[in-house]
Amino acid sequence: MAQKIKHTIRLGIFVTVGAILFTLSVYSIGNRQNLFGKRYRISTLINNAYGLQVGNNVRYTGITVGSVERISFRNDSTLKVDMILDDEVKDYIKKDAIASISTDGLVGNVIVNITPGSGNGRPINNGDIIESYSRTDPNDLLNSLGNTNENIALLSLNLLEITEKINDGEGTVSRLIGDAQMANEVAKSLSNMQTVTKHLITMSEQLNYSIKQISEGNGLLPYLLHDNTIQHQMESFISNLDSLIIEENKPVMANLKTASEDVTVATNELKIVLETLNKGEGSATTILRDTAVAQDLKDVFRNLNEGTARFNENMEALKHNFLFKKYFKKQEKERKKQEKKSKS
Amino acid sequence: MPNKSIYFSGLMNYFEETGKVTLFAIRFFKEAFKPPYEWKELIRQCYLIGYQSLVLVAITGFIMGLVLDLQTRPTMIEFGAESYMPSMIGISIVREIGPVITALICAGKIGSGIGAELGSMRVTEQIDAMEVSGTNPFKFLVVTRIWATTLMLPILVIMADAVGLFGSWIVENLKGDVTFALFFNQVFNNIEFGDLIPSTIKSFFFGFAIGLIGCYKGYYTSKGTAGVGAAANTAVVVASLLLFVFDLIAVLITDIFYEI
Repeated sequence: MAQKIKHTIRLGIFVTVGAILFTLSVYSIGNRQNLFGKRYRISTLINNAYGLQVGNNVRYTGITVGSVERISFRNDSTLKVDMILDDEVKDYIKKDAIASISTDGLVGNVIVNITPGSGNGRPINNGDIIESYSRTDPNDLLNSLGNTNENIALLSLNLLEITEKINDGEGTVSRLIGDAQMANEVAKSLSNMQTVTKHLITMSEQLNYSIKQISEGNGLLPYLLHDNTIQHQMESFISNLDSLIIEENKPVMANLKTASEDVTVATNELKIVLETLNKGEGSATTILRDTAVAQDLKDVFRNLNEGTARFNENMEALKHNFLFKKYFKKQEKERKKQEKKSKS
Repeated sequence: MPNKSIYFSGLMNYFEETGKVTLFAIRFFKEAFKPPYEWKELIRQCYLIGYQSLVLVAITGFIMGLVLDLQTRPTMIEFGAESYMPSMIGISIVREIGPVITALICAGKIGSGIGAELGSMRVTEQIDAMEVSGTNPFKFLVVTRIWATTLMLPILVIMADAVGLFGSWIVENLKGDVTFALFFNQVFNNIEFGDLIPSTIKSFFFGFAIGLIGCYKGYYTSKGTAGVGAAANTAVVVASLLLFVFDLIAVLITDIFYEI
């Protein structure tokens, strides 16, 4: 009988321990889902759940404060995520807090991350809807990484080509690395540059000194720079010069005006003449435009030329004529006398 | 080349056995809720089946957790997911390994024990004697044992889960310097009711299957003492097979309700 009781007690302990373990497990899971403590609900609206499921953790500043209770469609592009949060954090989450969907580590569960707002907002109430922002889609991230990788591959290929050229001794860089003479020249150049720099420093020091002298010292330049009376004098001089020029130029300008008026009148008259010519009125137009008249005129001039040539011949013949010979000799003598007079 | 009639008779035997087991189960349900109740025998059976299997189940669970951690750890480290070890081990043990391994151990120990015990009682005509003496042998022997296995297996599974997780923590602590609090915090942070409740429910069914098959095989033992050995053997084989069938059905049902 005592053995039986002992067995029963052992069985009781066994069952109790099992029941306690089961209860603890249920409590631990339930506690995480805030089933037993005070809790409150808030919601957020998102465009993509990224695999978020009911029961996933909700974190506020990195601490798990609740879990996702429900995910439902609000419309064709918006989802409403209802969350149950621990009552203890109620005062710390403000109305301007922002929810986002992220993952617990690189390959972990999807979670809702609530980040604090400005901190000046009022504490959140049961049933409030907080703002959310869309995280970068991992696919987009991978795509951009893919592009970056392609660029890096191209870059490394180019770099490889450059290093190969350098190794083969092509180009300036390889000469810089491999050619000892060039290295010496570069070293000399650098040394020269150093000297030049020293000179430049000295020059700048001297320049500084000069500027200081100019700004502080005596002489014409500082006087010109700092004395305001010269400026006033210059201004009055320029003003006087202006008025002088204006006064002196007045008659010239008047003449110019008259001349320009005359030119205008002449131009107008010329215009009238040209218009008359264009209209084909008068003999001048006939001469300009009629080709037959032009031909006749040409003939007239040719006849005139011929006539004058013959007239010259006749005159020459007259010179040799005994009747007029004396007259021409007398003329010749007079001409020579005039030349002598003009020379003396 | 075996004759086609052998397959046919084999199929017929299977259907016959299935029918008999179903009738046996129906009879159990009829008798189980009908007074008088054999409380003392039930408690005794619970003690024998539950308490006395604890050490075996605990050792198995401990080694199971230890080995699971040791085997999984290198791969998880390779993927840089060492920190996910506790949650992975926790979900594996609670959801699947704990119930199935415990049930298989119990099928081996309890199923064969019940089959052999009832079988020897049958062949030595003790069951007949009970009937003659006015005691309902089915209620006294079968109902109490099936109830005991059904009730005790979930507790054994919980124990095995706890000890298995403890074994896993030892490995994590020795190799990864993970504290007890952090380990169990991570385990329970990743276990959902969808992991714990279905596995507990299916443990009841596992216990029921072990008790039912053990009792059926033992209760209907024939062919003398050789039949007792056969009853014990087939009880283990059929119960183990039935466990996997139940497990498959349980996973499918859980998938519908909890979207694993």
